Amino acid sequence: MEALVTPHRLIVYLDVKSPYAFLAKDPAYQLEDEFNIEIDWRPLTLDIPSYLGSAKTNTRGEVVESKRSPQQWLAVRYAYMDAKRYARLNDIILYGTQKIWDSSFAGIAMLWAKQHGRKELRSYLDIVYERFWRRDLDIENSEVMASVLLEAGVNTDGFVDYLYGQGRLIHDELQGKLHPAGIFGVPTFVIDGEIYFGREHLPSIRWHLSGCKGRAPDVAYQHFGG
Amino acid sequence: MITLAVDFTDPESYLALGPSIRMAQELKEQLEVVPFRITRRPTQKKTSTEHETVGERHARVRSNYQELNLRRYFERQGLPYRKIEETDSTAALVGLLKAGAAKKSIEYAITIFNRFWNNSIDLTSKSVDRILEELKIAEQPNQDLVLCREKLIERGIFSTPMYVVADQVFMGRQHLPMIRWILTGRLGVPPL
Repeated sequence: MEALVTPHRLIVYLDVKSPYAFLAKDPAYQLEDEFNIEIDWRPLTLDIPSYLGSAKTNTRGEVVESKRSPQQWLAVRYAYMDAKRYARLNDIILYGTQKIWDSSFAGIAMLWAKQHGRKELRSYLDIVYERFWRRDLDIENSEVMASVLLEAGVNTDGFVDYLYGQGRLIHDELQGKLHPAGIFGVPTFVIDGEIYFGREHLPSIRWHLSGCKGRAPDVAYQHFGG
Repeated sequence: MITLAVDFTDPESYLALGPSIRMAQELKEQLEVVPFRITRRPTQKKTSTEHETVGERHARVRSNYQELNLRRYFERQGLPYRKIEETDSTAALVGLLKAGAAKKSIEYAITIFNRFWNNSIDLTSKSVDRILEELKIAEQPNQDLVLCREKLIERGIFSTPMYVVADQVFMGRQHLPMIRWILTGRLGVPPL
């Protein structure tokens, strides 16, 4: 799998541990439906401590361990506050995570679900995002991830082998190709050879899908629902 | 009232100015442009180095993307983009305070941004004084940039471009649909 190459019209890179990717999921569905395309959903497993420092909080949200600078804390706090603000207004529950998770199982399970149908993949993404951000899903547990796949209507025969075998290889190989391709965060959209990072570019994605007609739009967080 | 904090050396501030002015005019809402000096991050190397850490590589890739993205939206807005070397914007930001006191912050901000990014002025006191004079902004009592900054930090501002609207802070012009939604009575589906 090449980072920028796809047989589909649009690639979307996601990571379940990003609240911004969570907020981008439904508007991306709306574009997929509006333009009757199939999105090539792909995992980008963020290595957050490498660029934002690391931290752990207790159940009361108090920081018990931190390797973040004051500037990193300001940026992180604002980002969560901002994501929660939009989530609240759109009836999405977002509780802050208590540690930085390894979300690679969730990404590999997404690749597995993708092989089993578009409807099943959406169902899997909906369950994973909703439960993870309610602090009700252990995404580092292979059995838990298998049960989510089943619940989403995905056949799990061979999933555990895939998770530790071929799926892990595909996932890790892809992760190694992302930085060289210019991709570093989620949500990232790849369309017409252009890379867009952040859901504020969804108006541009829509413009591309519409054949680049008219003036190219500016960035905006907006709803595409009816 | 919309408060927009900018730094003249920040390309995102320049990109935010035009759309913010247009929205404020359309909604007949008052827009005040206020100064907030930012510390620019050191420029990342464009190519990888032998002993690059994952964090350094991430920062480099992100920085390269950000430059491409700035060029993309400068082009879409028809604005002149250039790479800015380390520039002290203090005099221009003090000028913005003076312009604000004279109720001409928007006019002043447009003039400084356009000319600075067109590379037709620097941001020295001499250039700033000339523009204040050109815009007929009368001599104002000394303006305290540090005090202004402290007050903005108290309101939640820590970077640019940032907005304060109805006691909420927003970073970046991508929030303009949300700001519009708030200022027009929170009717209909909220932005996402």
